[in-house]
Amino acid sequence: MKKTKPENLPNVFSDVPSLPVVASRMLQIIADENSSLQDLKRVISMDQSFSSRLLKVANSPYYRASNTIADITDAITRIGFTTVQALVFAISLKDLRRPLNKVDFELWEHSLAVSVASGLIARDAGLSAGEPFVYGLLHDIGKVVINLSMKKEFAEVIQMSAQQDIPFYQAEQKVLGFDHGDMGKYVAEQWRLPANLAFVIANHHEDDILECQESNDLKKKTLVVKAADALCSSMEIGLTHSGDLSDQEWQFLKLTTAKKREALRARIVEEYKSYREFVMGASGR
Amino acid sequence: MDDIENIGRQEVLQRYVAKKALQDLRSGTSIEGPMLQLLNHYPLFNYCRQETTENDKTILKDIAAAGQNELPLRRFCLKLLRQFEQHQDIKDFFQELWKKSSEYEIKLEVLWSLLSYGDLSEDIYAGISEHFDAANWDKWLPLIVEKLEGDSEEKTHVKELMKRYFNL
Repeated sequence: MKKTKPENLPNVFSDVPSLPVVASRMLQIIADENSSLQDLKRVISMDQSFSSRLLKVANSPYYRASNTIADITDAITRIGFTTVQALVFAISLKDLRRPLNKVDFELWEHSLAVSVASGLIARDAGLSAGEPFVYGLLHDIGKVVINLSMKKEFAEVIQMSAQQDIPFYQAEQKVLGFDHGDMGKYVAEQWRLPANLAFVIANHHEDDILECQESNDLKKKTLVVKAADALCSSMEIGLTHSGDLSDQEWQFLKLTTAKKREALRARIVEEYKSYREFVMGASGR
Repeated sequence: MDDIENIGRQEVLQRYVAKKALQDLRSGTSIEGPMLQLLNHYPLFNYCRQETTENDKTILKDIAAAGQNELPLRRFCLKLLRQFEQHQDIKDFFQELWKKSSEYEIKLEVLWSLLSYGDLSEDIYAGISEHFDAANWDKWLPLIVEKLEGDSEEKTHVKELMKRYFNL
């Protein structure tokens, strides 16, 4: 498990901006009188920037609420729909003109796929899909921040991972001296994201999840994201190269047979396609 | 049964009001402020939109562009024109109006259509970012909250959150 902050981890305080395509979709939805509240909830749930900021706001002292929220629908309910729409308007206009960066985009594609996959695996494992969906969306927020703040080094990581056929987190350790789990943990603390979410962001590549002292529920949610990550990586959706789960971990999720995992892959592809099309349109990019 | 009859009666009434409003616009008869308030809101606005035809485009453009007209009337006409936003003449009109108008009320009404144009010029994009930024939020924030049908408390709330959590 991640415990201490690596010494060479740079200080990063900025927020992650929305992708211009997602920002544009959000504005279209607000402007379209025929679109439903559900449409806006859906597109917000697919945006790393807005989802993380909404959770930060919903769990802030400003709302003086005792329970922690990790689900976007609950966050919108707490903040209020008109307020969320007005915030979306202001933020999206700001991000609309940002040039579309290929790496940002491919990282988003991967996160969206892991998000969808986490929701599906969670439901099969008897959990509600809301929280795991958010965990999946934000699991690689460390990579997004590294790419934003250390572009040149992250390009080296991508190259090394491809050339040496090693997972990203190993290439990151070699190039940067820390990995995206370390960066994600730091960012989650800076942004005051819910503790369980911060745990998943930090530890989704660790190999001692089953042995840690956390609750079974949190272990399960972390493994759900780890499995979703591994399945999406095996299908090469977006920019990714992740490791696999141990037999014990697959067993914990009751996904031991190849046939089960193959069926799951087919469902992930189908659902991911529908989510992506919702933002991008059927024509893709 | 009474409820159904009541709903039916309301619909007939709203259709009548919408038809009358469009007739007034076409004939140049003025529409009073309180009535415009009602026309600009749902569900009455939907009936007005249904009554609008392509033949009304010219008159609506003329009213919307005339700076001496009341802002609620100009906004009402711009909202009615949105259903034709992909017509080339309306695209040109909205872009021209964006450049010429200084009122945020007018800019906000055309903004939605402008954002749906894939071929929007860079200078208009730059103008949008410049106008709807933090420095000007006192001008546009109340309007956007009103457009989203929020109340005055909501305005304060949004501003507070933007300051605290969104660095705006």
